[in-house]
Amino acid sequence: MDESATERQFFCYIDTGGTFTDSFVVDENGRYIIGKAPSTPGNIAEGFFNSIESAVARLGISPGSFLSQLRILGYGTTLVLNALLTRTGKQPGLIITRGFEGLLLMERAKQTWTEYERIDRMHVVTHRHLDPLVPRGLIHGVTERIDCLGQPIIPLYEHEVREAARALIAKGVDAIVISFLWSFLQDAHERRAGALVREELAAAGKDLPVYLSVDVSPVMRELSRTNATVIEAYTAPLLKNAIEGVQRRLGEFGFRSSLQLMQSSGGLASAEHVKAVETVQSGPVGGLMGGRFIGELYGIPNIITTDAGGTSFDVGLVTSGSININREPVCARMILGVPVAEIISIGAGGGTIAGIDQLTGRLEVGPASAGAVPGPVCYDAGGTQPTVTDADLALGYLNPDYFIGGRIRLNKAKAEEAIRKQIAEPIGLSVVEAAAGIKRIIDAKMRNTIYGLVAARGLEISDYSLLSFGGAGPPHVAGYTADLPLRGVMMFPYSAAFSAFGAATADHEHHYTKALNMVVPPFAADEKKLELGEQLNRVWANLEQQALRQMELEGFDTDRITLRFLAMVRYGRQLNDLVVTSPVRRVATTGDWDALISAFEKLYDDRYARAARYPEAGFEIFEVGLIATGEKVKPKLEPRPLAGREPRAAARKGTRPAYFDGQMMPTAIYELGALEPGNVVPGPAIVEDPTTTFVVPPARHVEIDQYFTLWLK
Amino acid sequence: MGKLKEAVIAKEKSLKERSCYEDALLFKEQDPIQFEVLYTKLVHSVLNAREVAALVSASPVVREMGECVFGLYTAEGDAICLSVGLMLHIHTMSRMIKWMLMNDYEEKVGIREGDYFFNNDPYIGGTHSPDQLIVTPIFCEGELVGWAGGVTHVPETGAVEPGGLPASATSRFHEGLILPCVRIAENEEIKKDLEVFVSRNVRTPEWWLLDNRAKIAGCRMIRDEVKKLVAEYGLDYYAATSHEYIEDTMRATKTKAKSVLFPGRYRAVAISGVGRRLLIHVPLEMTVGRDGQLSCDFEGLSSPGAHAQNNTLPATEGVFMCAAIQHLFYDSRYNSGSLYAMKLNIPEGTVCNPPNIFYATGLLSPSIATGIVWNDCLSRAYYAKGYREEVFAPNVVTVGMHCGGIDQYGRMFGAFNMEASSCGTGARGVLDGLDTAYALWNPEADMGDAEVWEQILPIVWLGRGIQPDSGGFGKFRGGNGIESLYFVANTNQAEMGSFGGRLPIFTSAGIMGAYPGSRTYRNIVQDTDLKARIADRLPLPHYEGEMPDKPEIVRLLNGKAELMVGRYAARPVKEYDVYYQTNGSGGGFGDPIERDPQLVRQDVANKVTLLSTVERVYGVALDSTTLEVDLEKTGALRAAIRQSRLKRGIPAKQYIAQERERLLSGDLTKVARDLYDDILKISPKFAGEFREFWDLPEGYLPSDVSDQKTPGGSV
Repeated sequence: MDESATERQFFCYIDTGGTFTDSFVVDENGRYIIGKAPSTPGNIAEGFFNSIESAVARLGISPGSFLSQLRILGYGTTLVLNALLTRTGKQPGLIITRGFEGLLLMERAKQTWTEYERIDRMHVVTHRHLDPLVPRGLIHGVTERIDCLGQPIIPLYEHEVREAARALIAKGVDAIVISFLWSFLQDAHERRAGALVREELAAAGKDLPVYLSVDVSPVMRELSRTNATVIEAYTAPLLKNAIEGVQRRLGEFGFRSSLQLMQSSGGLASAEHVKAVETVQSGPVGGLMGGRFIGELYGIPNIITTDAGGTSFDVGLVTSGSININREPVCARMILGVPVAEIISIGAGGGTIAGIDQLTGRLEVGPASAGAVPGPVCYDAGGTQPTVTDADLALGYLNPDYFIGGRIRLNKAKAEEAIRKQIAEPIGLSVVEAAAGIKRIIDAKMRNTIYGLVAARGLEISDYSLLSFGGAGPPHVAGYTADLPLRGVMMFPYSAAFSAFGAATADHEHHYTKALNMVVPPFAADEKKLELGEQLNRVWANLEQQALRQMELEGFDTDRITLRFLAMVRYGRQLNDLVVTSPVRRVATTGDWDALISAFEKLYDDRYARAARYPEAGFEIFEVGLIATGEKVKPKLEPRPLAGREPRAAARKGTRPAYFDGQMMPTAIYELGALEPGNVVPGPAIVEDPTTTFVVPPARHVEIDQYFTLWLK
Repeated sequence: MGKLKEAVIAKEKSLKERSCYEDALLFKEQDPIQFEVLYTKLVHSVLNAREVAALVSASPVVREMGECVFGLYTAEGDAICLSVGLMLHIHTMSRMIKWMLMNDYEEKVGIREGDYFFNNDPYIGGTHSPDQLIVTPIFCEGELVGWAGGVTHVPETGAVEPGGLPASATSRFHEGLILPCVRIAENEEIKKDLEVFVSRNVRTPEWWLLDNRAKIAGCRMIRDEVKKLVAEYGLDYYAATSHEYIEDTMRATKTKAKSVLFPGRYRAVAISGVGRRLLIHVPLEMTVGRDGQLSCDFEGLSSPGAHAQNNTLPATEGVFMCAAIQHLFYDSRYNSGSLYAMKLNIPEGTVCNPPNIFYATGLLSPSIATGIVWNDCLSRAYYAKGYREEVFAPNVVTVGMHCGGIDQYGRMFGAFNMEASSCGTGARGVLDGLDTAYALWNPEADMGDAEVWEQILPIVWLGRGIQPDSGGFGKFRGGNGIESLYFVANTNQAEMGSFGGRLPIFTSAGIMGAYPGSRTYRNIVQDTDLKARIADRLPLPHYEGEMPDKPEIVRLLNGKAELMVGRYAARPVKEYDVYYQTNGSGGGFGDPIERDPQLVRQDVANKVTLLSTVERVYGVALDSTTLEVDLEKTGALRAAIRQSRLKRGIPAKQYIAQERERLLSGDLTKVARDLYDDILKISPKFAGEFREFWDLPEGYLPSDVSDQKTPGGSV
């Protein structure tokens, strides 16, 4: 970016991670720069501004001038997740339906093994309960019950609520959470209990926040709902504090626009309107958003995103332009009732450790990782077990003198020695064969994860293109896509920045849901359809009002808001529903009703094959929803003029031997930064960059298009 | 004879005569990497199938509890790989396929591409009639190269009681619809007439029929993936390696046993029961050879009987192998190799291998007891070798409630609230057992949310928590089981019962000086004044409470109260009838007076140990208000407990002599007499050892020497 930057408009996205705070600045032409500064957990604002400063310094303008021109400042933070993992949140007390005081200790059994690897899920002796965020002594039951029809079958024993509130206040809790069974269907008890607790707080002269489960997570399943509400109480004050600190500093610099937080579901929303628990998994969604943006750019509706780093391989899906939402995600081993963009993660990356299983003599790769410290053997920093990066080095894919731009000099001899001793000799292979084995196995695991994510949702992989980013992805993308019938394979350069870029492309979005109780008999009569449609309309109308009110508060005019009406539909007595985007905003005729059901059955067919249909069971709708999207300015990628197919001489860095098709062969080396749009790089080739290395096998080639996307053909 | 039948016979011969499945691992040795890569792809095909099936399934048992598993089998029906989930079916689908082949389905029924065969006959494959299996053949280049299969547990079978596990069944003919290896779909089309038949014979046909679709969808996914892989790797390669994976597992099984278990002979016994009047004896002698050869001999099992607790051979093998995978072979390939590597003797004519198909098989307690005794023996073999962290004290048989009738939406229904994944585990050798988070038959325990169950059943929970002190006391205590208390709501046309029967005796023994886990029981109070109490805002029962001998359900409610142990048949219930149920809990590890007092304090704070237990059992002095531990007083209390034990104790020789006298005089309760009469009659081996150990006369039977008037009709 040049010195005339002062007159331009910018969008900025800041991502505060555990180690670094990254900033991504993009101008209205889509050109971008990246800033980086160490995170400052004690005072988030400091790292935040240092990161912005490091970016804008390259623009030659002051942070103040830059911030005053900013239209939108997006912010992603792992603060909530970190607070959960390190157990450093506030201490709420919990008032729950009497008889369910043990809920957080019992964990539905499932939380004792969730997020475990397959072997440990089988190996029961390893299963563990978590320490609950609310200890049992701060959980009080009160008598009340709503039944599954929404009827108050046991009234709220108000005196018990008051007693519980007084006891918790006396114990010095930081907040009070109220979670009753079926409150998402009938909230009268929770709301009344909330009012009583506030009365008791006022009487005690205390000003503590009160969280109702129906406000935080109005969805079925008491554990997921209570977990979400407890996490909100546990972390919201921390997030609020951090945001206020940032906003104060922003204000000092003249920032007058909206600070928006990235939510786990993949949308941005004004910081003051975002629930803390809804940011808990926001870290990896940027890449997915970026995938959707790239899809829109190329007119590709179905995209698989793969992000390979040092320890994990994350796979996400964009289907028909939408990201998949997991409505019952697991985070920090807790099942949550909040929407989270679905991303599957396995332990596979550059640092993944390889070894021989003592029982079977088979080569196993992962899921354990050598991490950044000590890292792979070739880092020469104390690592002793061979890793995927060591194998890549032994195979000639990595340049020992140009890893991370030469910042880490790789010790190839040490890597080879470790592979020889620990892998090759025990199973009777040469070092190179063993290294190739490590690569094949890790590639197969990555491939299986991709295939599984698509196939296990009943989708067809041949409908998808794949986008690879993350430093450890490009060396393996040819391997893990080799036998997948994908429509195309794209690699995004400057992989490290892709997540931040993606986050900057996110929409301003809110998700709303409401439970109801709709059992639709098989082959319902017209009157029944209209009656049910009316019920649906009432709920949708309420959600619409709620959404418009909130979006208006956030500064959106009605004409800049898009609404998607959702119904979660299933066949009678099924327990999984599908999220159906309704083709109609209201059900006014039986035709509208039929259109909604047809949309469900079409989606069902696509997922599970037509033979799995079962309309004879009738239908059930126990939840409806609404997604409100506010129009927001996004960065653009501008096409660049195409040069010739032949890369210029400056891009060529000579050759070195690399392993393909069972042998080491001379392989052309290119410098990514010197390649131009329009260039074609024939395999075998290796394209190097300070952030990653692209491996192009024989008989394949890479084409660089006008957006500088690399297509592996 | 069909070609595949010949292959089945040949494999059996090889296993019997040469103790191997394949003579060599040629392809593994040729290219060990490719061998692994293909296997990971096969494993993923079954994992993906399970995920899809769980989404299509309607059954709450599948969705809430993960009772669903998919597998890939060789042409002759041996398991190559299994998904996670209901692992006890690793071999039951294998049995089903082999049964079809051995019964000439190739020639007499026909096996074609696009066929799907259904089975819920537990004598053929599966464990009980709600376990429903579907398999489909995989053809490549015109040749049947394997089978894809899936199992789900469907909680309604049209049996004499709702829910599929009728406690009152006395023969299999009370257990509802049983379809033995029936082709339910051909050319990919489900047979409509068969669906009509099902839909008019079970109480909740949607579950059965949607689960069929789920399994077909999953099987199809596996089949299509295997066909792609065969095209990629070649038919010869696939056919050979699919067998080598099994041989590879056989070899790994021995290596594992040799490396982690101390060689020797280990024995354990579990007692299960039927109602109050019959005990079932489940003994195990486990031998670990110096070469790692594992043998498990169940000689001494009781006879089958006219009750619901007989288990078929496939069921027993399945449950036993499920336990074996969880505790020994968890890091191996999940296939038939582990079973073939072990020498397993489950004598024919016993409760775990009945002589004919007459016997009812709904309740799995005897086969689960085979897993329990396995844990007992295995833990000691691990311990002896120094692998204390692998110790897992005996766990539990699970129980559940079943009901049916007209639900809160006015629909016909039959189902059960299994909550059965909410047992406590046995204690570990280095820490406590898990509370409310285990079931032997599915390592991925999930009890589901109460809101989901309330949507399915016409009940409203008053309490769902951890039953204090139900886990066996110990240095590390056993995991506590769940206690659930609910009332019937929004229907007056329902019946409710309980399956999973045990006598008031302990199945989950403690080890190394610890106590056993608690027995399970239920209370029911009918014609209650609950509605009036609610209207008056009076205290309601939510748990058993601080006084287990006077539970809240009895103290706080007026009505017809009944305490039940073991199973009971469904009975009519109406609104505001109240039901209380406990589930199993695990045995402890080590002496309770060696327990860290801070762990006791923590348990009291979590309300999972009663204050009244602290001093009496653990010898811990705890301030009931501040929960502070007084270490000095604790030391004194523990010393006093030791002294008291020394006073009570007698030398082992004296004890054995006393017990011998009881045997000789027939001083046994009737159920114990019946138990020993039975096994001494049916197992000469057991009888010989028993009489030798106790120095009893030839032909000794307790009933021959008993005064038949001995009291104690029940224990």
